[in-house]
Amino acid sequence: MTYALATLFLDPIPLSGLQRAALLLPICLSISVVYRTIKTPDLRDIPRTSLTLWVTIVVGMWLVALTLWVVYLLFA
Amino acid sequence: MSKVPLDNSLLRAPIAAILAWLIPGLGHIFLGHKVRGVIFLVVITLTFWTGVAVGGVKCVDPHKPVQQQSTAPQQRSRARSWWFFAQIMNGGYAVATHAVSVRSDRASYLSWPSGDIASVYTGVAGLLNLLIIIDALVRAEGLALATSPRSGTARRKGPPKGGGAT
Repeated sequence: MTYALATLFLDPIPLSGLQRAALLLPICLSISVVYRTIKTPDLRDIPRTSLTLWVTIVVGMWLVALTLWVVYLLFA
Repeated sequence: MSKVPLDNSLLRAPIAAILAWLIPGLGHIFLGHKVRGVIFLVVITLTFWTGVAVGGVKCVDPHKPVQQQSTAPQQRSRARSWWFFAQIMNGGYAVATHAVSVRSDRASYLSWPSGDIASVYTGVAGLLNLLIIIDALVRAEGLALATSPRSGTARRKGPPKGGGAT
């Protein structure tokens, strides 16, 4: 058990394309939770505001990616 | 809203900053903001160790080249060392990981893309912890950035707690 846990942190995990894309979600969640925890005075507002910011970041980044992909398809 | 039973306010800020650097969130817990501190501790810990799990301990090492690199080795090595500056802001976590990385007999390269994703995760965790350290300093000084009048939530909920920012 301990060895398996140690191995998890020693060796890189091979990732597929979909897994790479999915890893965008947790890091955006981390950024939004930390930012809203710093900025929100009332602790009860943190979950709602963090979720709103997380959705905004993820949707915004996907829109930028989609736009760049379309631009690439048009001019490539 | 000072909750620290310390008379010497001069020591409060540096102690909070050092604690926040050593273990993310510990500075806020020291200042009495326990819930915020625990949130920071959980989020930064999960983000940093997810990065290490994805890329291995070698991701927190400024000198390790990347396998299957598309650009020149020197360029990649320089970029890696810039990430290291961000990673080291995780304090105790980064120092422990770097110590294991130096002693590790694992492969001396970072595989792509896991290595890059790991650098981003651990680097972003470090930059977020830098924000947390600054917030701990501000709270220790009684400025309470989080209750700034610019915050829409603060206006909606009434007068800010602990006084507004100067």
